[in-house]
Amino acid sequence: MFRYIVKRIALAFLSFFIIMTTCFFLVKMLPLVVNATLGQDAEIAEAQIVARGYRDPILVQYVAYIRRILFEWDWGVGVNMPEYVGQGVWGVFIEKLPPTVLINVYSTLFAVPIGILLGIYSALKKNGWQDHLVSTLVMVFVSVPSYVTAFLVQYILCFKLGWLPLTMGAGTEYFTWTTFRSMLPAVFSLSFGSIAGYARFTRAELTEVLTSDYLELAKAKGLTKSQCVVRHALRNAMTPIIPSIIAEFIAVMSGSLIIEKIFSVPGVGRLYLTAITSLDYDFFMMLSAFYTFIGLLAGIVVDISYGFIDPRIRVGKR
Amino acid sequence: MAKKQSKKIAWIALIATMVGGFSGCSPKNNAGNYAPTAGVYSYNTYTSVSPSNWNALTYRDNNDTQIMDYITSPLFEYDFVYETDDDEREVKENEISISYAMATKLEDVSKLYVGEAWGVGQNETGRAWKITLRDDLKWEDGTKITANDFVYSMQEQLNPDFKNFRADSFYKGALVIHGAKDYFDGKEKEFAKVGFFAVDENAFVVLLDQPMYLLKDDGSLSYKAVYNFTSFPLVKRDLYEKSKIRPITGSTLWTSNYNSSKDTTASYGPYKLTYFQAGKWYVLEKNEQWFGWKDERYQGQYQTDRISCETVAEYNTAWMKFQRGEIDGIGIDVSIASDYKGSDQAYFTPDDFVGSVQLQSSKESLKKRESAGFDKEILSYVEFRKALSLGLDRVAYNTACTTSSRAGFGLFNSMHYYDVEEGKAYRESDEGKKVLCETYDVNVSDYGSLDNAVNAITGYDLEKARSLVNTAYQKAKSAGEISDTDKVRLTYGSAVDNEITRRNFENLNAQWKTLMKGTALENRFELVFDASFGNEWATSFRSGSYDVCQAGWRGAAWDPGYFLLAYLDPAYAYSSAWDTSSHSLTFTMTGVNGNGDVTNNASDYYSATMSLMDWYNRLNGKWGTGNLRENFRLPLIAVLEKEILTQYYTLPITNNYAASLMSYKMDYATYEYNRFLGYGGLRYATYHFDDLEWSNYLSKQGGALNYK
Repeated sequence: MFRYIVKRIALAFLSFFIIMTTCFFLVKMLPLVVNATLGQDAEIAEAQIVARGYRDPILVQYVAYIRRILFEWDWGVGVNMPEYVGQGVWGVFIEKLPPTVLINVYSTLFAVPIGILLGIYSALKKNGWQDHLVSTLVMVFVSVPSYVTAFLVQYILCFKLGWLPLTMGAGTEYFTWTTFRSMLPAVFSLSFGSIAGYARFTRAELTEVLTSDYLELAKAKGLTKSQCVVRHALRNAMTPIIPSIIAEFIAVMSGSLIIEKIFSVPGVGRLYLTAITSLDYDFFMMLSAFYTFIGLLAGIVVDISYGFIDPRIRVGKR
Repeated sequence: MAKKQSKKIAWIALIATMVGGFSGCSPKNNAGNYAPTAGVYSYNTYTSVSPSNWNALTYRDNNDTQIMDYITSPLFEYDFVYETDDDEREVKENEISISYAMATKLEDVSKLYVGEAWGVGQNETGRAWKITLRDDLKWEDGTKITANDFVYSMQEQLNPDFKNFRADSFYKGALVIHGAKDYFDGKEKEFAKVGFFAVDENAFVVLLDQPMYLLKDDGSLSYKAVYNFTSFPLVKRDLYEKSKIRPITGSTLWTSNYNSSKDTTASYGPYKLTYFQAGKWYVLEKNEQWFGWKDERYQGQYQTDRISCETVAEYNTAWMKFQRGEIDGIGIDVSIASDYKGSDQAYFTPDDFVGSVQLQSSKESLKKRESAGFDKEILSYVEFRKALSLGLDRVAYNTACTTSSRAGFGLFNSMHYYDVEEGKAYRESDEGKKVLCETYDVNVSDYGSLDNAVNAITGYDLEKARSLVNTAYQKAKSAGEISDTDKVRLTYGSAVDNEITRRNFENLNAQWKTLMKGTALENRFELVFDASFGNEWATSFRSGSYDVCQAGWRGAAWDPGYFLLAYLDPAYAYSSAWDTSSHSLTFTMTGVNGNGDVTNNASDYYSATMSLMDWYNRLNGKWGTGNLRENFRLPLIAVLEKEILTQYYTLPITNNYAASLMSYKMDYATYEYNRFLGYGGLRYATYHFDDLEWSNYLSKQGGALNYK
C-alpha cells in the first residue's frame, strides 16, 4: 500500500508538471493585444506589456516563472482582471476560497444524509407509491438546472416570504449565525440536485444488494430486516457511494459560477473564467495549478478510499 | 462498549463545535449590515463589478471612480444656482456657478516665466497658472495637505518606472505640462525641469506647452478650470511609498497597491473608506477632516452619512433587493420597462453615448472569409451599406431593444456641446442639422425649414434602400463577385451570447430580411450570430475577423472636434481599413488666414484640399479650442462628421437614455438634467426617511414595495 501511494504521488507530480507546462505555453501563445480606449495612450499599454516581460521569448518567461514560484512563492499580481488589478493573486484566491468551500461543505452535509435516506427509503419501498414519488422528485431535481432552482429559492424563500436574505452577507466572520443564515439560500440551491443524485444512486445500489443471494441467506439465518439492511446491504451499497461523496467534496473547491453570481457569494467561482477571458496570466496559472493539484489529489484519495471502505479491495495484491 | 462510548463522545463534540461555532459567536452585525439608527441617513447601492483600483495615478475605468468620487475633492467645482419662489428654493434649470473648492485662487502667471527655460513667449498668456490652496486641507488622519503633496503626486504620476496608465492625461490632448512627456519617457531625469512645482507651502504652478484660458474676462472661473484643471492627482506620500511593489522576477515594472483596500486608502474628500471586501462590499462614512464641513457653502449638502455598496452581479437579484428597500436606486431593465417606465419614481438620464451598427471596412478580409455559394464582398459597396442604413427602423429598434433610448442618426447627440460656455449643443446648430439632412437625403426645401426637415428624419426608407440593394448587387455581379445563386452571409459578432445580444441581433436580422424582400437578394441574405470573440470582439472586428458589430463611443462630450478621433484614427475607429490619411476633402475654413494662422476674423479664410486626418489634426492642433473660436471650428466639425457618416461604415442607431427608479427613501435635488451636474448626485440628495424610519416603513409595507 505504501509503495502504491508513493508511486501515485510521484506520478501525480509528474502529471502536474506536464499539465502546468502545457498550460503556460498554450496561454502564452495566445495573441497579446493592446486595448487602448479613446484618449488612452496605446504606447503606455504596450510599454507595460514589455516591462512585464510578456514580449520576451516564452521559454525565458517560463524559466522566470518557475524561479519565481519555486524560490519566492510569488504567484504574481492581477493585471487585467477587472476586480483584482494590482492584487496579489494568491492572496485574492485564499481570501475568496472560504465562502466557496463553506457553502459547498454545508450543501454536502445537508445533501448526503437526506439523499441517502431518501434512497434507502425508496429502495425499501421499491415499486410502491413512495418509491414512485421519490423517483419522480429525483428526476425533476436531476433535470432542472441549478440556476432555475436558485431563482426559485431566491424568489420564494427570500423575496416573497422574506425568511432568508437575498444575498450572502459581507465580512469574513464566516462562523456567525448571520453569515450562516445568509448562506442558506445558496446551500439549498446547490443541495437539491445533490440530494436527487445521492437518492438515485443509493436506491440503485441498495436495490441491487437487497436482491443478492447472501442477503437471502442472512434473512434465512434469522436476521431481522433492519439488521439485514443496516449491517449488510447498506455497507456494501456504500462502496461506490462514499468515493463519489469524497470526489464531490473535493470538487467543491472550484465553486459554482452561477450560484455564486445569483447570491453574490464572494467566492472563487468566477475567478477562473474571468482569468481566461481577461488573459490574466498569473491568475490563470495559479488557478490552473490549484485545480490541477486538487484534481490529482482527488484521484489518489478516491482510489485509496476504496480499500478502507471495502476490506476486500486491496491495492497491488493479486 | 468503550468503542461505542467514544463514538458518542465524538458525535457530541462535533455537534457542540458546530452549534458553538454559530451561536457562541457574538451577536454583532456583520460588516456591511448596520443596525438601523435614528438620525442616520444611509445610501445603499450596488455595483455589478467591484472596484479594485481607485488610485488616481492608475485607475482604469469608470468602475474604479465610484470610490474615488467620494474620497477626493476637486480644486474647482460646479454648483447649482437656485431661485426662490414662495419661500421654496428650486434649482435653476441648466444653470451653474463655478466655485473654488480645494483651491482659493487661480492666477495666470505666464509673464513670470517668460524665457527659454520654460519656452514661454514675451506676450503669451495662459501658459503658466498658479493655484493657491486652502490652508485647512487635511488627509483623513489629520495630516496637512500642502502644495508639495501635489508636486510629489505628479512626480509619481509621471514616474517612468511605473508607466502609469493616467500619465498621458498630462502630456497628450489639451493639457500638456511642460517637460512631462520627457520625464515620463526617462529622457529627462530631473523633475525640477517639469512644469509642475510648488512656490510655497500652499501654492503650486503648472506650466503648459499649449495655452489654456481658464478665467473669464471678468476674472471669474471659466468652466474650463473645472474641466481641465480638476484632475491633478493627489496621493498621500507615506502611504504611497509603503504601497509600492517591486518588480516581480522577469519584470522591470514597478506597481502599487495604493488605494486598493481600506488600509491602503487615504481620503481627502467628504467621505472615507471604512470597510472594503474585494468583490463583495464597501462602506464609506463621513470624513470628519474634510474642509467642507466647516464651510458655509456646503451647508445643507452631503446629508448622506453612510454609503454602503454591495457587489451584485445578477440584475434580478438587485431588482428584488430594490423592491425590498435594501438598495436605493436601480436602472430599469428592458424586461420590466413597460411596467415601470411610467412610475412616479422613474427618471431618465441622457447620455453622450451613441450606439452604432459597425460594418466591416476591409474588402480584403471580406473576400478572404467567403465560402462557396456565399458572398460577403457586396458589403464593400457604399450603396449596399447605405441600403443597410436606410433599411433600419431606428425607432422600432430602440423600442424593442432598449428601455428608453432614442433613435440616433448622427455621430453626436444632444449631449455634445461645441461651445460649452455659451451652452450651444452641436446637434442644435444649423451645421449639425444640415449634416443629418444630407446624410439621410432629406431635402430641406420640401419641409419649409431646417428644423422641420430635421424633425422629419427617420433614417428609414425601404423603397430607396431596396433600390440601393439592387444597384449594389448589379455592380458586384458585373465585377464577378457574386453569382445568380450566391447568398450574402454576414457574420454578426458579439462578446457574449445572452438575452440582450440575442435580442439586438434578432431585431437587426429581421429588419434586414424585410429590407431584402422584393430585391435581387430576397431569400438570399443571412445574418449569422457569433459570440466566439469574447473580450477581443473589438480587436477581432478591426482586424477583419467578422462583418457586423454593434459598438459606440462616449466621452469628450464637450469637445466634439476631438471626439472625431474615434471615427477617423484607425487606432480607435471600427472602420480601421478606411484610409482617412488618403481620403481627401476640399474645404474653406474661416477665421484663419491664407497661411492657416488663426485670426478669428470672419473675413479671413483658408481654402485647401487635404486628407481627413490632416484636417482633423489642424482642427485639434493650431485651430484647437481656445485658439480658434468655436463658431469657426463648427463648420469643419460638421463636414468631417458628414464625410464619416456618408461612408456608411458606422450607422448610428441609438442615443442613450438610461431609465432608473429612485427609492421612496430619498430624492435628488432636481430631476431636470443639468449638463454639468446631472441631478446633483449624493452631494445634493435629500432623505425622506432616516434609517430607523425606513426600516419601520418597510416592515409596515410587508416587505416588498410597489414602484409601478
